[in-house]
Amino acid sequence: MKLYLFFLIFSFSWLFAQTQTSLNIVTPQPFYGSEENSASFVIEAKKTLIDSIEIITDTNETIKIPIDANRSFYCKSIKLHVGENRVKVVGYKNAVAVKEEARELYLTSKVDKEHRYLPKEYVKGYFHNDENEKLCVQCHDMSVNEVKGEAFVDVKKSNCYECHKNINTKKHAHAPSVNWLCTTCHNGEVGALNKADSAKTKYSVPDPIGDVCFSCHKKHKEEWGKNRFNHEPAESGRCNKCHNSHSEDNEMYLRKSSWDLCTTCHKDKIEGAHVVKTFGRAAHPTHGVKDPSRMPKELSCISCHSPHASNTSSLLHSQSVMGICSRCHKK
Amino acid sequence: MKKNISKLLGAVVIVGALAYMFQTYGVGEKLGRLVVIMEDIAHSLKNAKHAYEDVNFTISDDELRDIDIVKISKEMQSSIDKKKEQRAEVKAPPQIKADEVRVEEQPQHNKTAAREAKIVKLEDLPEKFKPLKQYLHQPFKMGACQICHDSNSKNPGALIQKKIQDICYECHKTRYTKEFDHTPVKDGKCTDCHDPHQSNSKMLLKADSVNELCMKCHDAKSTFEAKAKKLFVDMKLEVKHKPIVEKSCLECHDAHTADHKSLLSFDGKMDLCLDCHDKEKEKVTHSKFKHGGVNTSQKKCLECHNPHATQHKKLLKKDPVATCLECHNKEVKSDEDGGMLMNMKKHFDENPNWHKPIKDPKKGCSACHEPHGSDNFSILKKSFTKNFYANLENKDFFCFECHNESKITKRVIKSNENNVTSFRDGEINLHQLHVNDRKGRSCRACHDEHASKYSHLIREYTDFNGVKFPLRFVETPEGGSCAPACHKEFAYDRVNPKGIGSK
Repeated sequence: MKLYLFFLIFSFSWLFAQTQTSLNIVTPQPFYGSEENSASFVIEAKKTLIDSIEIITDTNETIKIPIDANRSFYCKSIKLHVGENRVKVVGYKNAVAVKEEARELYLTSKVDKEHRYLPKEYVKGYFHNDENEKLCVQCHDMSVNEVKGEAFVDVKKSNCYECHKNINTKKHAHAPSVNWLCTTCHNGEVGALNKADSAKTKYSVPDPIGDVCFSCHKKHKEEWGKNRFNHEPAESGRCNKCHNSHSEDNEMYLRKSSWDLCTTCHKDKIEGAHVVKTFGRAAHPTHGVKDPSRMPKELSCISCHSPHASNTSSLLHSQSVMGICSRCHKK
Repeated sequence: MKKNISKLLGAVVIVGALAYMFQTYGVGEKLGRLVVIMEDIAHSLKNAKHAYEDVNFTISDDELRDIDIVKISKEMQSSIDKKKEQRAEVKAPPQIKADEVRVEEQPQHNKTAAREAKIVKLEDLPEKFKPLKQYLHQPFKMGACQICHDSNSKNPGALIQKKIQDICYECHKTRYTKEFDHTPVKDGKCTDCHDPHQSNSKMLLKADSVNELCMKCHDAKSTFEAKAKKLFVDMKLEVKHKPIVEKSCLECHDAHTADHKSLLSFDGKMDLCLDCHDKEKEKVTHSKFKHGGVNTSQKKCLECHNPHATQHKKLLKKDPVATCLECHNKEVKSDEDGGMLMNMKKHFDENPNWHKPIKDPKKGCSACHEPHGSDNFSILKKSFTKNFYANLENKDFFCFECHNESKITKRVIKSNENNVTSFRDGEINLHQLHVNDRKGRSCRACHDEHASKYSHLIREYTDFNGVKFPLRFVETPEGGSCAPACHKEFAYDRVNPKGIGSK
């Protein structure tokens, strides 16, 4: 009798569990904070209860995944936009929505004061830990197959490529990134500013990143070190504040076009007479016209200022203030 | 009245002068501008925004976390340390001891007094000595047989002493003064080489010439004595060392005794060679970069050259490339910077397309490298660069000795100038674009100067900051494409241009 009762309870609980897990988002966890513009969704689905999954982003992008009889886990990389993202995952059985789950994700941006830090309810998410990877290895090779100091001839052979290909789609791409030499920077170490990441992910990047950057860009370190004046982000080795080390539509992988980027912090330069205000009332332009000293590029902050270091105060490109004028005003 | 008129006149003159000034110096215009300026200043003062934003001094926890206190404290500490260092006393350098001067002892040679001897007339000499030869031993010429032979003995040729050398050294006392002796000298066999009576060659040799005499024993095919192989010299080979042919073995070797091995007056590995080879001496001793093969190797010159005779030009032991690959068949430590030089043999074996000069049997590696030493890195004969980026302004690269400079200077190449370069997109010269446009890149960024799997010696990988990036070069009949680390996949075509030049 006792045995019978035990079986009854067991089968009930099993059935209950079955209905509960018809669709389950394994990662990301609720209120997932991300620094990268894509997030990997891992969805567990029971083939007996649903026959297709739909992922719907808040920009109404819909991704359909059919259910395969041989597997119970499904992965998809979802592109994120800066700020709060709400992604719905809907399970269908015979074209009827059976189960719906949603996740809130937040993409921070280093060059957007509003979205610089995670809101209180969000927690920074980490993907590459042993617990998550245990699921992944059923289908994916989760090892690093990169040869130190030698790029892939066919980048698609990188084990990182399949899930992270979104990061290298923009116009200007950083060579180590587009050649999938990921561990050059993602060395699993942490810096003084991201000690919290320690041991949470295998592929953390030290913050400040400077030493990693300068391991290749040695010349810059040497040159800038000799200069009297330094731009704070460059000096403190936080190159990734302005540069996106993967890919960006702007030259030099800047996170915004250079004028927009500079004025993110230097807001007082947006309006008003920055360079010189003549008696004719119109101030000297700082953008929107061609730069005679670097044709055919547009005038921008970097036309006059060095964004990293200089021997002239105000980080000017020239030896003196008058020198900077004569770069364009030749007579 | 008169006063009033003069006042009026004065006023008229002043007004006139003012009007004239107004006219000539444009004072009115200037005053007008001043009014505009003042207006502008007033406008700006009234309307311009404050130059700086109001600063919000509240710092959030997140922002506070971003401030690197450890680094700031480290910087402060290092600046304090620096000042301390400046104050620290500078230690006096240790005094250098004077070199000990050693004086070599010079051996003393004393001439022996002439001996009294019973003289035999030339006509009375035994028949076997006739006819007399060109050169005669002095005692023999004098007929002083008794100096060497015992006249009281029953045997006609009996000697006064048992050992020949004891007799010779009675007069010739200058032997046995140096470190190494010729084996016959050591064994006291003077008569192995010299005839004690007479000879047709100088020094009373037992052969017609010095070389002939030497080769009696030192010929590889000689069966005279079973000696170590290294003592044999094969002088039948095609290329012979000039001094041996034009003069004799004695140009380098001493027949009796010497201070250095192989009976040489200097160290045979290098010093002896450089005694004659002035050009090489300059290179070996004074060049900025030295070849480890000559400079630090065990056998020095003899690593590559045979001092007697070989089958290959320049007395090389093997043909030019093979000689180099004798050592460069593994990674070798560079004398230049202590780095490792690549395994060239493996590189040549794996990559079938070799740079043309290397294939030239007369030149080989020495087409570009100066094996004795050079002032250019990698002991190159002329300047080149190690860097990926290089300013091609002076264009003094070695490459342009053979390759035409117009390859990299001309922007547009017409299709009838096909020989200048075929790396074109339509008529746009992509060499110029890569190398001489905005940034100077050196030839080696894309080309492997030794050998490659690809045509045009295109590298499989280019080294950029210590990372090997594949060029991913694909050749098509009229063009090709590359997808290196520098840019995305770009294709070019000589017939149907892809428009790269406009990018």
